[in-house]
Amino acid sequence: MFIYSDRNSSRMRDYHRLDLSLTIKDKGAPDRFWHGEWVFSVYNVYGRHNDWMINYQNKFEGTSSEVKEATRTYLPFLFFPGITYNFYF
Amino acid sequence: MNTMKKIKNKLKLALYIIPAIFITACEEPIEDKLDSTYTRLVVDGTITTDTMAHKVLLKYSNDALNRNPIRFVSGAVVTISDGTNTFNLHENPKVPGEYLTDSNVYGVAGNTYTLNISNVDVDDNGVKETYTASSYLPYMSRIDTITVTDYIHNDKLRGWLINLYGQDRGGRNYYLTKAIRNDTLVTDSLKEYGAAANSGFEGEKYEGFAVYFLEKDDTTDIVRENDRITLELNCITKDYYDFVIGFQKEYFPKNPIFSGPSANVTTNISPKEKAVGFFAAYSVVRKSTIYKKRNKKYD
Repeated sequence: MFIYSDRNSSRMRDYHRLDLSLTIKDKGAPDRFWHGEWVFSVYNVYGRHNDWMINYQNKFEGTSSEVKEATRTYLPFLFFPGITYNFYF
Repeated sequence: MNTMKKIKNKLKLALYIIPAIFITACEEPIEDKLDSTYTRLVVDGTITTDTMAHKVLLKYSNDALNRNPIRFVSGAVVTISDGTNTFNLHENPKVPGEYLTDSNVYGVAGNTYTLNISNVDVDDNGVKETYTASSYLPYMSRIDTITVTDYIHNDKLRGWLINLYGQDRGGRNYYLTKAIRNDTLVTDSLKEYGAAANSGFEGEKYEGFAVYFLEKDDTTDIVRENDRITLELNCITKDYYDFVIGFQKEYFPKNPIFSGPSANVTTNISPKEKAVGFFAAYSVVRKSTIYKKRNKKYD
C-alpha cells in the first residue's frame, strides 16, 4: 500500500518537444473575397517519447513477494506530420 | 467493378487501422525513482471476543518500489487496556515485530479498548515515541445458520455463495466476512475480506442472504463435495469498515477515468502523521456447514 504525498508535491519527468511549421500564403487574385494559406507542420520533430502517464501496479515475483512496478505509457509515433489549409473571408 | 470493390475494402481497412494506431499507446516498464518520505510506524492490531493470544504486528514503512525486506519493530512496550484491565503483550521470540497477549485474553462487547505502543523510535532521532489507538468493540447480531449454494452467473463467473440466516440487531452495523474451507482460512488477507454495512436490513431477518462468494476460477476458493465451509462474521466499527474499504480501493487496480484520485487510507493510530494501519476491536461469530452439490442458486 502506498503512502501518498500531498497533491502537486511531486513532478513527472520533464516534457519537451519541438514542433515546426511552414506557412505558405496563397497570393490569389487581388479582387477575390477570400484568401488562404497552406500550413505544413511536423509535431515532435526530434521524436522524444514523452510520458503520457505512469502507472504503478502490483507485480508478483516468486511465490509471495510482491513489488510495485512502474510502467510508463507514451504515444506510439515518433513525430507526426500535418497539412492544413486555412482560408479567411 | 472488382477494382472499385478492392479500393473500397482497402479504404475500409485503413479507416480501422489508422485510428487504432492513434488510440493505442506504447507501454514499457521503467525504473522510476520516487521521492522518499519519512518512516512511519505500520500497525496491524486486533482484539476480538475470541479467547486467544491477540496479536499486534509492528513494522516500519518502506520506500515505494523498494525491494528491500520489510523491517519489523522489536523491543516495543505494547499494552491493550479496556479501562479496567490492562493486558501486556509480549514479543514473539520466533517472529520479530509480533506482539501477543496471553492466550486467555478475550474482548467484551460494549467495551472500548486502547492500544498503547511505547519505547519505539521510528523516526530514528534518539527520542522514544508513544503511539495510541482506541476502538469500541461492537455487539454481534444473532446468526442461526449458513448454507453454501452453487452459483452460476455465466461461463466465466461461477462459484459458490455462502448464505446467511439470522437476525440483525438493529441500528447501523458493519460486518466483515471471512471464509474457512475445512481448516484453511480462504480469506487470509485484508484485500480478500468481505466488508458490508447492513443498509436495508436494520433489525431485519437474514433469510439466505448471500454474504460471500467463492470464485471457481480462484484455485484457493474451490469447494468440493463434503468440504466443511465456515463463515466467520465480525461486527466491526464504522472506522474499521472505512479502513478496510479504503485499503481495498487503493490495493486493487483503478480505472483512471471512473475512479477518484488515489488517497491515503485512514488510520486510528495517533499521532496520525507518524503512523499508518489500524487497531480494531470486533466481535466474532462462526457458523459451519457441510457442502453438498444439490444446492444450486442461479442468477
